[in-house]
Amino acid sequence: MSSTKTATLSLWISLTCLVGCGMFVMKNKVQSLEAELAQINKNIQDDVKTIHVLNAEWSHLNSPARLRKLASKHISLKPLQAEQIINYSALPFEYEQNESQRRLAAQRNINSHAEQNRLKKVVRAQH
Amino acid sequence: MFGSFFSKKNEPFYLPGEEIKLDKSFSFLNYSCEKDPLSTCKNRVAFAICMFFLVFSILTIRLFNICISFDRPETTIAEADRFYALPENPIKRADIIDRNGTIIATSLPTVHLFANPKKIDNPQKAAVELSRILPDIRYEDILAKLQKKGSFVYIKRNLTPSQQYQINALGIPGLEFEDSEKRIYPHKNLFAHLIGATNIDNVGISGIEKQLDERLRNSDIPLQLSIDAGIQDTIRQELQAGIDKFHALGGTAILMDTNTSEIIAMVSLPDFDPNRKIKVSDRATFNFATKGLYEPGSVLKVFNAALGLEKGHVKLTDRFDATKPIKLRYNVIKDYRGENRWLDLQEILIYSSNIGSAQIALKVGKEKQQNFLKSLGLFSSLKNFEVAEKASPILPRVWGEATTATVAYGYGISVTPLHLATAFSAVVNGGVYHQPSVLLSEKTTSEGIQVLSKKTSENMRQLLRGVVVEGSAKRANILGYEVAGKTGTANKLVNGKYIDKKVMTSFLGTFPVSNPRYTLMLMMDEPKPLKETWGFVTSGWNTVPTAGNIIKAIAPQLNIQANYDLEEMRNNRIIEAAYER
Repeated sequence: MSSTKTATLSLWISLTCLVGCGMFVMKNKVQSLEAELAQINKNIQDDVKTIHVLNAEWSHLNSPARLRKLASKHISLKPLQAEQIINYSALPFEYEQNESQRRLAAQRNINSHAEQNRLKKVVRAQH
Repeated sequence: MFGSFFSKKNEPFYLPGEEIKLDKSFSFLNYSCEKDPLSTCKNRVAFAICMFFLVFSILTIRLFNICISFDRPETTIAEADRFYALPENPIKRADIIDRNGTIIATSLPTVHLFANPKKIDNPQKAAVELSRILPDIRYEDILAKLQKKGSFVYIKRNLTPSQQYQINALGIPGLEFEDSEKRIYPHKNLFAHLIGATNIDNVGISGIEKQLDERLRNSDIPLQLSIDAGIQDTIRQELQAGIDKFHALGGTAILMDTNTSEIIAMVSLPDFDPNRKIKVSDRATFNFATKGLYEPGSVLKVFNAALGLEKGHVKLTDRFDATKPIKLRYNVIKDYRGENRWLDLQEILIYSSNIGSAQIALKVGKEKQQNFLKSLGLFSSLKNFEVAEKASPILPRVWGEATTATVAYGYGISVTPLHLATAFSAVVNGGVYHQPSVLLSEKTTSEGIQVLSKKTSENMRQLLRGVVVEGSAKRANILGYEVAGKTGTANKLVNGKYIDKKVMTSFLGTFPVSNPRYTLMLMMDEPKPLKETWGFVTSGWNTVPTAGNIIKAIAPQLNIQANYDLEEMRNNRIIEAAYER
């Protein structure tokens, strides 16, 4: 056999071995990665299940009937009545045509309240 | 055979005994097909080598193909072989959520316990242990199951996690677990009729669960409804209060978006808890709102008035003689506490005059009346509605003159409350009819059919507002929310006779009337007279105040701005109250 032939043959054999080894290593790695993926997927599914259960519980705890019962027991808030919502224009300010004057009127209103409060404090302090 | 290919022509010479020695010249190059022992041996070796080559080359090629294949056909590879980066959802059946994302129905992961009786060595001992952990099953029952022939028997479905842990810790071979899920309804009774329920195998058996079973099974994306859980609860509570107060047998309420016919809330009472698999009365499982067929009574006068206006036979100013009953061939049409005078259209609705309504219908005629009611969907089943329990309206077999007259004020034809709410929405929203739906649609106003003109619709809104301001629906006139509507009281038909004391009372209304957004349909079955209603059982005394309470409670939740007339408000001393503060 000539040296060229021997060289070619050995090249092929070494290449085959190399590819074989490479393939084995790769396969091994893929297997371990797949196992890892399966584990992660299982964990995710467990988490999804847990989240599902928690969501259901949250919905159960937030059911309007239960909230109403708790609210009537622990806080003194009542359902909103239509009469409690009124327009700005219905507020007891003197009506001013332009906006800057309206602001002034509002400020005056606040100031008068502040003045009243101050007077109340003074009266209380005197007693 | 192969030897001849390799062999040389010249015959080698062997010394005696030399032919059986293995010499250095052993090669395939110099043997023949002769029948000498050496050639036979070489032949066989060559054959074996060829075979090995063949087999290994096949293996190599196949291995190469499997490992590195360039043209893998996508379709022939099984789906299961592929690896997904994302795991599939362990919960198979989709959730149902309301318009704000609140969970209405969901599935919880559970496990079933099953046994393989063949693998269980000591059924008595296993049964003792199991009956200790599962106190709700008797020892004898478990033992009977464990001694059954066959290799599969369910012991208990839906174990609790601690039960599963304890049974697992027993370590009895032959007891196994199966992953499963259980449908639960966190709001209990609240959506009982609407959502329905599933059976033990998670297949929908009623309501939305049945109608949209395929959708819920095939996709795990939550199904979003147009229902609002908060509003539903408020309405249920108010309706229950009303039913309790008037000792009614049952009731139903539907709140619908007037402009799209989307259902915001739908309650039918009495109801049941779908989480409990116990037998409840037929009355409780009956969905009043979509399956209850009743003669609607006076609320049908709304459609009659719209018919008259739309076809141009009646004008707002026309007056009708309601001084004496109408005598038809077989029956006489009378008014309940009639005014006994000439009435215009507004007054016919305010005083709910049967005589006036019948006159309008007779003036318009049978054909037009039928076509109009048909266009409002009152003649056909609401096939596309997402709740499984549906009823088809009952129509008279013969539609004569008498029928035309009686249908005008709501007798002779039976429809469901859902039909009425849908048709009413079309009358007040500008004349566009939409199919009712409980699914939240992307579009704000779905495609509808124009069934009456905008002008007629506007007139109808005015007339209906008049009924609430001065007529039988006064008690639903909630300040600021401009309620408009019509009441109805229909005598129940028992054994072919109308009975005075047994009535179905209803209220059909919309608010705020200047720009209708919501339609409310309320119906009560046999409310009883009370002292405070002066012995009356008509709608204005029971259904209407209940409707008023409902509107008062839900309107602020629905984000409707109260539209006060300043003068009206001063009368109600709101400004004074504000000044005092």
